[in-house]
Amino acid sequence: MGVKKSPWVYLLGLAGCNGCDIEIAAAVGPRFDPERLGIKVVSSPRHADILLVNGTVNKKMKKVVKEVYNQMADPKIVVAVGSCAMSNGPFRECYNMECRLDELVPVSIYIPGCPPRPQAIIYGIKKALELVK
Amino acid sequence: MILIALVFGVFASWLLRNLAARAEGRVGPPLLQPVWDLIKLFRKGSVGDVSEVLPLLSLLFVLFATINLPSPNSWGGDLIVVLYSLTASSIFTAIAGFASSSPFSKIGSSRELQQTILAELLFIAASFSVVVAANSTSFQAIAFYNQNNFNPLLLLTFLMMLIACQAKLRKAPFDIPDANVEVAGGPATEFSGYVLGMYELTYLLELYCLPMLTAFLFFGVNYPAALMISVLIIFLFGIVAAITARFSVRSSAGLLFFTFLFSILVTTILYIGGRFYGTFI
Repeated sequence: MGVKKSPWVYLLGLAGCNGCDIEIAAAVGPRFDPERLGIKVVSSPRHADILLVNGTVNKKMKKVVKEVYNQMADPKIVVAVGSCAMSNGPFRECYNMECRLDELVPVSIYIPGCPPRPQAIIYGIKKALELVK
Repeated sequence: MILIALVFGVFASWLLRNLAARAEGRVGPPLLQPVWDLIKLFRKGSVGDVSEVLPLLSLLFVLFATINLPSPNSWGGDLIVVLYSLTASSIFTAIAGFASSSPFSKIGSSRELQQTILAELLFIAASFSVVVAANSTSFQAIAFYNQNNFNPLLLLTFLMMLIACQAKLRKAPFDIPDANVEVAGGPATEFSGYVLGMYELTYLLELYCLPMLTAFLFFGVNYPAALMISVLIIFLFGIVAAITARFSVRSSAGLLFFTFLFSILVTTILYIGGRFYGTFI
């Protein structure tokens, strides 16, 4: 029950175009103030409850995603932000794309958009918390 | 006693976070946020190869310091025990960081150790100016001295003591050991679940111990008044943390070392004055 009140988020930016990174930075910044909901951005995956992934999964990043996911303590939730994290988006036919994010780690919530708005990202995190028992 | 310390720690943590939030034009977390964080952390499992004993030892030492501080119905133990336990707690945190395998926690720990050693020198020098003036290390005698005398030199060491506390609490501008963007989580990078919970709990108790110790050393006050003074000190720390940027490692070390030399000078003057002239000024 504690997780619902204090979800700690680790931001994992893969090989995207950085558009989602900027929207995430806006979402966790002072204007939308997620700290009033208890959401805190932590700098180590060991501390995190939610893995907020954006960007495409290319050959080099496949290993990284799995490693970061395995470093998190249970219970853990993965939230995919943006079209790239959902389906590799506009880059899906590139030579270095081998699989989607949800083929590597179990994704609970997809936030669509290219990039999604900050409100949508915060709403997605709140939706993800409803999945925690 | 420990319950009061925990409630105070939760309040202090909330105050610090909310002051930072207000400075940025945000709303800030709710009052019980530190409690929710702790409940969550203690319910989570721990992963990775971290030592569970060292953070526990750190927590036990800070608990020991809490018990030895004056409480509502007694004057507690001795000042030296409190100083020793607080130092041991910081050092065990740093060793816990060295014991884990992440390079970030190793850099964070070496920074923590460096800052602890310098801040500890200053902390002890500033505390001992009061000891020399009051000629005793028991809290009761120090309170008695402060009620009957006013010593302007102690005002100077009070300022030094505030700097030392800010550095020991790792608040900005002294947040070098756990600077997020440089060394991830500092010594706690590899901690997760309940091990991280112990680390956070240690911090909450330190938030109680350090301002309370300052209040008891420099103001001849009883327990409720010391709590009030501690809230004011935490408020001051929060404002300073919100309006300052992080020191570089070198400038922080320089500041701590020179304030230490200054505190030693004041303590020596107090000692010579008391010993040879029978006066403390």
